[in-house]
Parts: sequence; C-alpha cells; structure tokens
Amino acid sequence: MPPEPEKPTHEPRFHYFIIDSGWKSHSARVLRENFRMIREFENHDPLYVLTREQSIALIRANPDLIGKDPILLVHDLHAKGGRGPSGYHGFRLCLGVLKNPEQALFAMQEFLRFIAEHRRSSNIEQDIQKRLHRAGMVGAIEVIRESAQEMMA
Amino acid sequence: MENKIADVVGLLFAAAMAAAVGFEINRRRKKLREVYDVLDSETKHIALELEKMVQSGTLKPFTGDSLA
Repeated sequence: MPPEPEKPTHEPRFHYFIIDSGWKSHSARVLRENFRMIREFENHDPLYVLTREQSIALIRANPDLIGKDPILLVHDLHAKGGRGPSGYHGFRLCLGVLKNPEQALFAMQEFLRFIAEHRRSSNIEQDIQKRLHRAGMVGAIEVIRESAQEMMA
Repeated sequence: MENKIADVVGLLFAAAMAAAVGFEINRRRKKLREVYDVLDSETKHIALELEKMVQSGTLKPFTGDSLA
C-alpha cells in the first residue's frame, strides 16, 4: 500500500538540498526540467536550493565534488546519533556523474521513489545499504550474463 | 602434449574471463556508489555545513515551482 502524503504541519523527516554550480550538462538540464516533480514528491519536507554562488563556495571547499553536481542531498533528521562522529545521516544523489539524460532521469525517479517508500523506516540508511548490495548483486549477475552471451556469440 | 597445451590455454582463458568479470562487477559497484550512496565519513560534514546555513538563515526553504 503506498504511503499517504503527510500534511505540512508534521515534523519534517528530511531536509532536501540541491547543490548546482551551473554546469551545462544533460543531468543538470534533467534536474531543472523536472524540478517540479521533486516538489511534488518531497512530502512537504523543506527543500533548500543553494544559489550558484553558494554551490560553488561549497564545492570549492570540497573539491572532490567538482563535476558531481547537480547533487540532491537528503539529510535524515530522525537519524541523529548512531554511527559516525558528526551524528549527521542521510544520502545523496550525484547526478553530474551520469552523462546520459535517460540515466539521470531514471536515477532521480528511483531516488525519489526510494525515499517515498522508506520515509517511515526507522533506519533508512540501512535500507539503502541493503539496496545497494542488492543492486550490486544484480549488476554482478548481469555482467556474468553478458559475458556468457559474448562467449556464445 | 597437445592436450596439455589446450588445457593450459583453456585454464588461462577461464582465469582471464573470471578476472575481467570481477573487474567489471567492481567497476559497476563503484560507479553505483559514486552516483547514489549514504553520507559517509567523507561527506557527512557537507550535511553539517548545510544545516549551519539553514540555522543561520543563509538558506531558506524554497517555495517556487521551478529553478531559474
């Protein structure tokens, strides 16, 4: 059963951040053109869009992020404490890494779907780790299948 | 003798295939994590910086429907 949309008066579960330094890339275009869809599915949680200058300043301070933006970073407010010294938990989608617009759109849809489906989870990070592991396994099977096909061709 | 050579070649080919598949699996896993992952020790401080911006009022919730 799909989760019901929460009312705006509820305590937010997540803070959404969009970091976009302004690359003219396919993935950036996908994000800008489908921005309204993020608004539709973020369930009234606050969305913060960094200006180009703020994004550049943040990326300058963290140069490993160059070329990975636009980034959709989600901070999980319910997951304070626990692992790590900062106590900050969440997940991120680096759309800039994807060069193909279809891949970027699919990744964004998957990301939003995952958050919507797991927003009531007590440990969404663990859910993501499981999913990444599962995706890794699926990828491994796919590679083996492709290799077998190549050998048989 | 010829059988032994064929066995060795077959073995080498199988080993090369296994190594190539292992390499490809690793590459795809790495790529997947590069695109989509939880905040790790190297990226958690970014969430901290962003929350500081929210608390200081530098960042305000976006209410528009489109990005400029």
